[in-house]
Amino acid sequence: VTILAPLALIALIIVPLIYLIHLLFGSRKRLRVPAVFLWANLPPAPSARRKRRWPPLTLLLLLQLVAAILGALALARPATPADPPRHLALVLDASASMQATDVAPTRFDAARARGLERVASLRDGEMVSVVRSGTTASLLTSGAPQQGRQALATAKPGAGPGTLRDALALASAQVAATPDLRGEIVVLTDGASPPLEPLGVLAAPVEVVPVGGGSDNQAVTALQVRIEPSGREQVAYVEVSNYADQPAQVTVRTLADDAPLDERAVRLAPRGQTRVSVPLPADARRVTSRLLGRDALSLDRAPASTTCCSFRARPRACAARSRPFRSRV
Amino acid sequence: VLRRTLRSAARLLRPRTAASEALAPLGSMAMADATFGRYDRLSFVSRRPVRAGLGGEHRSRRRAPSTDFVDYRPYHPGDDFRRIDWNVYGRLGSLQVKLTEGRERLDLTLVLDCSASMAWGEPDRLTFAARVLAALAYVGLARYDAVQVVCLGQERGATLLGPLRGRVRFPDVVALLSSVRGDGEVDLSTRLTQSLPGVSNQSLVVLVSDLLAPSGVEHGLDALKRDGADVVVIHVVSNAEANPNLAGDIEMVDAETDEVLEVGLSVEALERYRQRYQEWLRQQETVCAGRGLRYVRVNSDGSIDSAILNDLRHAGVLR
Repeated sequence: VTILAPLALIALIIVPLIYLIHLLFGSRKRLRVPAVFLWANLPPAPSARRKRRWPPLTLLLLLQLVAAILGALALARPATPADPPRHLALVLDASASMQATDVAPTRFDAARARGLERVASLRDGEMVSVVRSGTTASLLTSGAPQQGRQALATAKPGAGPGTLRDALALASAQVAATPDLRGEIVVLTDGASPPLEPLGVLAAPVEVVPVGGGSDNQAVTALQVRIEPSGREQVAYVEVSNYADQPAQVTVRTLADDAPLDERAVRLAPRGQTRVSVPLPADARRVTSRLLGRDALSLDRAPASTTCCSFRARPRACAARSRPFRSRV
Repeated sequence: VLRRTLRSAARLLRPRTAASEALAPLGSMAMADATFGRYDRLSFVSRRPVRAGLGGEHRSRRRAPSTDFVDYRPYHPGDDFRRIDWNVYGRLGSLQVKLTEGRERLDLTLVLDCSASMAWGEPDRLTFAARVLAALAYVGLARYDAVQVVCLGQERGATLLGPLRGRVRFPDVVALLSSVRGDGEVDLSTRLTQSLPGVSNQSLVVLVSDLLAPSGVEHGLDALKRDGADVVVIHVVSNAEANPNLAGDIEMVDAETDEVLEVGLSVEALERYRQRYQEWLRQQETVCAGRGLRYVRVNSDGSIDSAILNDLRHAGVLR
């Protein structure tokens, strides 16, 4: 409990004043009589020998004291921090890495379950906003907890990178629109996004809830075909990246026009990458390269293909970093 | 000082008094006759020869031409021949003169003590005293007496009305008495010596008061006595004053002076007070009797009829 107007506690001085008034005037009953000279010099009663006596604790005195104390405390405006209703802004990471299955059934479903738990903790009258961080940030809903539950239930993961920065800005704007509610931004993510650029001051503190991560994750991040200067040969350059915190060894298989061309084991340093060059037949028209074995993100085992002209392969989304973290953005 | 100021302000702001509410119905003559009509046959009894002028209904000690036969006396030279009773001469052979009695007015002064102590009690004594005074004024006006009403208060001093004659002036008396209120401290002794103009040895002065004055009222009564007036003191008392039902520690506040007296009331103290009060009543009676004044004690808890028809008639003030 905090006191919002502590100076008002000065009003508590009324309490001893009330007691003083009872002490001075309240102990005796006042009565008007036609003349006091007829009452003078009567034999005194034993109770009248002391002029001032402590006032008896009568119901009237008690009520007056309680009323004065409560009034002074009310003027001081006591408040409890949990009193204001909340506005929960959930940022749901819908990047491709959220489809990783290292958490059953997927990271996205685990994040959805965490979000539903947070929504379940809301009371009537509190608000929830759900922001989906896919290739673009979008507001799924903003309203009562029931609407938040429906939005989470119908949310789907994306196949591209997340835009967590835009999603946080959108969530902050939603919280700022309700200044009478206590804002709270919760980011449900696997943390597999690049470091965020500075966002400035947000409207509410941010809590990051990590989902999954920590599993082996390697991927073909680039596939490029170059023609030798002689113009007779062409070489495929396959870039393989390791997003795990430990070294890994993967097998890279390369196909030319769907015919096996090369298969080799590659050793990767933690969070490192390496390039593999594969000479191609001169008449090869299409090159495909993929990693063999199982990966937390099934997309990372999909083949990367390119025609035999120079191009940059679409980078695969990386899997989550293994260490969970909480931070303020 | 603050308390007195507040009390004065409260008195001034008080819109109506209990006396005004009690006397308001008497403002019309019809209501006055209906209320006091049974007092029509009453008249004041004065111990002095009345001499406020002829035309009243009081027997005069002076022999004056009138139709009211009193006696015969032998004729003396110089007597009016018209007053010789020739029937007696024819029967007895001696000249007898008829003596008749004049009817004169009474010079009546009604004095009401309007001190704050009179406004004490429930119902307050001032209302009762004002109604008694109104009844006495009605009796006097019905007998064509010269009625003067004097209200003694603190702030407004002495309010005088009259002399009035005839019942048609009764609403004026009611209007004055309706405006009275318990008015602070009144030194009866001083006021009685200063505020009663026109009082002579032919006057009948009726004082209605509670006689509550620490210094007593002897000096005022002596002043009236020196003027030779026939004085009647109507002492208004109440049961609550005679037998208070009090106990414990009490701050007594004087209704007139606001003097505070702290007392612790025990059974013994209350008994002592009752004794003292009875002694004080006897003392007031003795003071009046010692000066040849008529003293009548009336109880404000009783009725007006009881005070007029019983107390005042038995005391010989009315007949």
